[in-house]
Amino acid sequence: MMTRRRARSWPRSGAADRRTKPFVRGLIGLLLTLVASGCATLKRTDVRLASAKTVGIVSAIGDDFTFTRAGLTAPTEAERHSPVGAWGLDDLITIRMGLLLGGRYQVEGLTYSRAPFATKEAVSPFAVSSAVSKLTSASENRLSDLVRTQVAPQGLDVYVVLTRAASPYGSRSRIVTGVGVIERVAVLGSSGQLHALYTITVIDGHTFKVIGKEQAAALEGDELFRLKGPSREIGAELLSAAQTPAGSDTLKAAVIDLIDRGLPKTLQELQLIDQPKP
Amino acid sequence: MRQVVRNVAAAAFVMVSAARAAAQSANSFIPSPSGLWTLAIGANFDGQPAFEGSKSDKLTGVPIFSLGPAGGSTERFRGPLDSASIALFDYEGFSAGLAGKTKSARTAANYTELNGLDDVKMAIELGGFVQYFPTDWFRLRTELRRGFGGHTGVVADFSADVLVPVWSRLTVSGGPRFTLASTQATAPYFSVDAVQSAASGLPVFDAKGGAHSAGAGTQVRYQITPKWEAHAYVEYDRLLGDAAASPLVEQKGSPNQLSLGLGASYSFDFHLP
Repeated sequence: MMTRRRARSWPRSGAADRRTKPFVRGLIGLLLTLVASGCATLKRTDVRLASAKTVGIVSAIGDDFTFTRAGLTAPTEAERHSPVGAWGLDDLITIRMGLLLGGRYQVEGLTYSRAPFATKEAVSPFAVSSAVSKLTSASENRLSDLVRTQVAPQGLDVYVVLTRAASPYGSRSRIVTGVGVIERVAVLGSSGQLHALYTITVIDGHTFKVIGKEQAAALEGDELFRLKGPSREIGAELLSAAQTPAGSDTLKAAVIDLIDRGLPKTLQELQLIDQPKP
Repeated sequence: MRQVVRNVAAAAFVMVSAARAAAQSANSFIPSPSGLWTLAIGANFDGQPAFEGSKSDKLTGVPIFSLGPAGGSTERFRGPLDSASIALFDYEGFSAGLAGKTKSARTAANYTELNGLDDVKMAIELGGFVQYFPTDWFRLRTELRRGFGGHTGVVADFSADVLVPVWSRLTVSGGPRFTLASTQATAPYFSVDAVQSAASGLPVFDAKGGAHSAGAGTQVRYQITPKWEAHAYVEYDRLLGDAAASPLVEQKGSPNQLSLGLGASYSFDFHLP
């Protein structure tokens, strides 16, 4: 009876209701689709990773250290780049990721040219074009192509690729990428923020489809301005060392510590390693 | 009624989306829903003229609710009088996109100065913005908006702000403001027709568009902790042209318009799978 009464009352409701309900239904449908697509992605990742046995690791956060100034700076001031290839950062990351992944997978050594993976991707200034690029997974396709053509051996179940990520900073939201330091210049002194921003992409070694992608999240630290990725405030000593980073073991240790602290959580998000037991 | 609801919904969408998106890079525009997001909640308490041209003030409380992709959001500059906006183009300090704001309804029964004048409905102004940061410490911004509802004219705001980080936690900003408004955006608030004249005792006045106001504003922002932020602002505008010459302003109001605001917000990150 209740159902019948409701069915009868429906045509008598006002025009606004008749217009609103399809809208609400559409909205709910959209939300359900979003949730379902998220769940579907997770399940796909889970299934493929569950059957995976061999894993290869590519690390290309780059051999470049950026020193950027924000705040009271000259309009012409540009970021400075310093080579830090001597740090062997990518080799260290490969070893650390190998240790983390070794508990579940057989980690195989890879041969590849790092430069193509470390290339900075061009980003369109037009939001629509950028969004379309994301929807068409242009960036993911580029990495998949590189894994297919530049990495040996082929045929592993999964390839895990670590590349530089980006984050906005400063009052006008400029973009900083990878490893470096931001110096914020104020009237009463400066402050420094060390960052190591990276994304991990998981690629199916047989179909070369991207089955997972996660940008390392900000750490639960005390930095005043949060970047979209691991960062921490640094004192005057490290800020000074960042001017000539290649020779500073302290700075190198601080960068490795940042990456180390972010890696387990990012790999957990990608379901590559298990959640730690409480 | 439905039109009003639709307008309010549209404006609310713009405002909620905009706080974080205002200066957002194209790099992270229209992000995937999965990932890390930042939600900021808080409140603003504003003291401002009871209506445009009034010499009395009213106090309003406005909730702060903004949602955006995590990272960098705490540093983004936003002027206290900026419309809610979304950048569609963002490159090297130059950005442009959509902007929208609401203008409160003016109810004659609420103020004795308005006795005999008509009510003016709430207006929703929609349009676009262009802003340019030649450096981190200087911003130029202009907005062009068309009104719907209370007025159907065009309004153009121009502002310049110098941003001075006094130290890492404290930033002081401020600069000049200037507004142009068309006749259709000015007349509903400042014209007095024959019927209104007879009812209010004010002389008949036909307000035309042109220079609307000029002034200056300053804002202080303090980052208390990585999650707590407090801010305060003062904005002064002097009405110009026919807005200032209106008998409503000359006889019962004031061309000097002062707005004060105080607010705080708490932001936290959450992860969407």
